[in-house]
Amino acid sequence: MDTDSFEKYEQNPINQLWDDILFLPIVGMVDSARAQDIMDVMLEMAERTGARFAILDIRGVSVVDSAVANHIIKITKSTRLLGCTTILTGVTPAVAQSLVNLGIDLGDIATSAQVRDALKLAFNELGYVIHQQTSA
Amino acid sequence: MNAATAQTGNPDICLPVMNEQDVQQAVRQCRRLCMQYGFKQVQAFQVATALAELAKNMLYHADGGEIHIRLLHTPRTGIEIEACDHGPGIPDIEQAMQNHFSTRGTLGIGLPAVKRLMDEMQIETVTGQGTRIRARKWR
Ligand SMILES: Nc1ncnc2c1ncn2[C@@H]1O[C@H](COP(=O)(O)OP(=O)(O)O)[C@@H](O)[C@H]1O
Ligand SMILES: [Mg+2]
Repeated sequence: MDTDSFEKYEQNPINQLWDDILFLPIVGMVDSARAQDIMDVMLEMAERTGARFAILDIRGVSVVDSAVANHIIKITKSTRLLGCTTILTGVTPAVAQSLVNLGIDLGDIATSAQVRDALKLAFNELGYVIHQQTSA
Repeated sequence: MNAATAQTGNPDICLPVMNEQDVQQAVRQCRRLCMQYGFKQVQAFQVATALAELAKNMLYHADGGEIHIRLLHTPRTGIEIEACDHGPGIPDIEQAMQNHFSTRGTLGIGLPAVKRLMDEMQIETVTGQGTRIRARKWR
């Protein structure tokens, strides 16, 4: 791994949360260069792990304006080409309202406010059933 | 002095916008001010998003500029974002305000979105001299 791609992963710490599930929290600002880095790490990890879902958490993004929303849509589209579906989290009511005002249509991208809900959705789609062991 | 200047006698913050980091700084300040002055979170995000659109327009359509964030007190509490630049100006405002119009091949929804995100919007522009856009939101 060269320095560049090391930094890419440092800035965008993508994780394999489960066999088929990636998780990437984005913090700070997303300009074109950052968006390209995010796209790179998502595609590289999706290819390497064969993951079928990527949870992209945008709660920490400074602001979701039209340019940022457009970057996010492009990232999810390209990841999907590798068979990896993005679930967008951190889409709080405030973010959702601004997206509506922007006139941005997230189309069929699944969104939720909480990472927990995205994880449940992915587990569900992948056929995992989570249950708490009861002590007899 | 027009009504707007009288109302906004206390300019709170003036920030230079020369790069994306500056935009981020301005967004942070703006959101903090909104929360501090009792705007709802939805409103704070709307104002910050509008600010980001105006600031990035100055970066990409002019050579940067300045963002002013002011609190308004009359007729009621509000916040005003002003974006000032000495760029090329906007030759046709009506066209620029249309959804999907862009001279740079980007989305072209920034300006019309500012209008939807905020309560009031005013554009002053002189070709070859610059642009001043003010947008307000009432609490
Ligand atoms: N500060 C500015 N100075 C000069 N032209 C501007 C400025 N802001 C916006 N414009 C013009 O208005 C158009 C529409 O702006 P906008 O709706 O934000 O879309 P976009 O930024 O994607 O082009 C721009 O393409 C540009 O021609
Ligand atoms: Mg714009």
